[in-house]
Amino acid sequence: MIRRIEHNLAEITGFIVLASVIYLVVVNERWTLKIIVLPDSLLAINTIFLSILIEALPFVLIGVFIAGLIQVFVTEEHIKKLIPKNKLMAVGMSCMLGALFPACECGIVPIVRKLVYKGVPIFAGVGFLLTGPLINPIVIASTYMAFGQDVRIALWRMGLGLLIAIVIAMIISFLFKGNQLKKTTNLPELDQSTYRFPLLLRIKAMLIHSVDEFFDVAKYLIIGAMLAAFVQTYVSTNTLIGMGQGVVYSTAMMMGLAYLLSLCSEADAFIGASFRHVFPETSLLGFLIYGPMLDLKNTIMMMAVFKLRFVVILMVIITLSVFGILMFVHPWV
Amino acid sequence: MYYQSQQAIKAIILLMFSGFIFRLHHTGEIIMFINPQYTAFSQIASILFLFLFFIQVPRIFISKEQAEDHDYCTILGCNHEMIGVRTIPLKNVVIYFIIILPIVTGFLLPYKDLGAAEAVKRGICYTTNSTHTDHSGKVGTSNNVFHEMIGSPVLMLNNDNFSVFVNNILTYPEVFEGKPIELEGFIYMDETYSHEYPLLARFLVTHCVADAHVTGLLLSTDDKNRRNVDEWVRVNGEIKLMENAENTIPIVLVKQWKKIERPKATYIYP
Repeated sequence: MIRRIEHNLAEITGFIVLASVIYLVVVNERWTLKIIVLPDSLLAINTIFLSILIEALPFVLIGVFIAGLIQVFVTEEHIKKLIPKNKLMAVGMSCMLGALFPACECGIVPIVRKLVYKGVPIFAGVGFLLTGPLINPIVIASTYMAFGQDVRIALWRMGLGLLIAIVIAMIISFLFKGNQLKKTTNLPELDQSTYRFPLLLRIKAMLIHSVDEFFDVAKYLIIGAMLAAFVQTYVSTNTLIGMGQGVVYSTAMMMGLAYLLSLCSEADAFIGASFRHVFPETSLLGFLIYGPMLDLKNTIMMMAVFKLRFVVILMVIITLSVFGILMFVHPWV
Repeated sequence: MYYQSQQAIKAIILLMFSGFIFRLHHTGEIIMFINPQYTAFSQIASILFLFLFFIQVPRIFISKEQAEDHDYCTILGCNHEMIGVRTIPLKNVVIYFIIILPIVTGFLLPYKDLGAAEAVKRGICYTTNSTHTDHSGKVGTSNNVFHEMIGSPVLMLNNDNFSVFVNNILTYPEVFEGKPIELEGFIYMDETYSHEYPLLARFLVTHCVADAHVTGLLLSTDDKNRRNVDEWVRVNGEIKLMENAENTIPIVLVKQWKKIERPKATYIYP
């Protein structure tokens, strides 16, 4: 009998925990802390913080599931076969793949990490990382809607974004060799032999990897969301706008704003559109292209995955490329 | 039988996330965070968390045989060493604390609707937001709404049509000059743009509260009592035009003014 209980200990504990949480969730009233009076701005931070998280979590979960899938089912041979030998071809392919793949800038980091770990060259990984959140059907549709059914901005965003991503990935391909991943990540030893295990065990392994991946990623997501909520509550956009004029300044300003606000690429077009009457379209494009590529939230997540030196250099390259190319095309926008 | 405390903590955190999101949907408080159109995503997330919890539970206890068997390490990961499993390293304690933070603040702190204080920090848009000047009926897909607006004797703004109506009024102010209008929202004073006019504002939430932005119409009124920031009011009036340095701005000439209760759903979801 004791042996039997011991055997089912996990299930029994799980059931008890489950039952108590269901009880807490459904039956009990919320014990809101009404005794402690907190300043309104702190409550606003908390609300924005939670809303960023709630919005991001579904996409992060999809990301960790795909990462688990790659970990267990994709081998180095697959990657070697699929990635073209030619650098330019590889960059083009990864950018195209990213453009077809609907992802959020935080959900894509664990996927890229797994791909690079499995042997995808770092520059192809970067191409995928940059185009994934920037170019996809949902983002294009929301940009089109936000700018009052004006297809021009949406097309510029897509075309220029793709071009800039390819340029950045090419620069990376000349600067970096090796996978640039942090050494400490506790991934199990690479092997070609997962195929000797039965399918059911492989699915189980995939799910277990997803859980671990989630805990790996979640802490950085939470810190990033916290910082973004802080900035949103305390930094006034109006004062930033009032500080200067001219296309160079306003583009730099909008890019900085995109970085700090850390909006999801599916919704940022609506915020960008609200600056339409203050800034030229080049600056708005800066906001729309730079934001999905790089922001506060995903910087912290990248630092968790890649070497610090690589992340810093990548940030500089992204910033300079987006700014430079926008200044170059400004006369035509 | 070995007990792995870290796996147990992970399992409980997963379940708490699931429960937290479920509770938000259960009480309807989810609309204070995200646009109701996207609630399906977070419902799926809640279910996925529950699913991951069930995946995680069997890892809490492992038998002696499993602990010593390294056969499956290549696929499952080799993290079942028995040395030091009872003490959790300080680094991991910090990590679990960070991950549990949103659940703690989410369960314990009251949620706050954004109001005038937050509106000040955000970009605001109540001037003509497009540059094209041809009014030859080319209004895109909102064409039907546009004609409906011209046809109706009084513009009645509600949660569903607020953003479209306000947008049309801002874009084509001349067309709607002299039109009676009825709308509600909170009072907001903008230092930089409208020193003397209060703004009747609403927050638009496209995706989640983080991307909330303000829209609304300026009010023309002499009464000093009508400038209490954050007060919810229902206004009856008429659209007038106001010329400023660069463009024409529509403004509502207030005829009737009624204080109302803060509504349950304060945001507008376009």
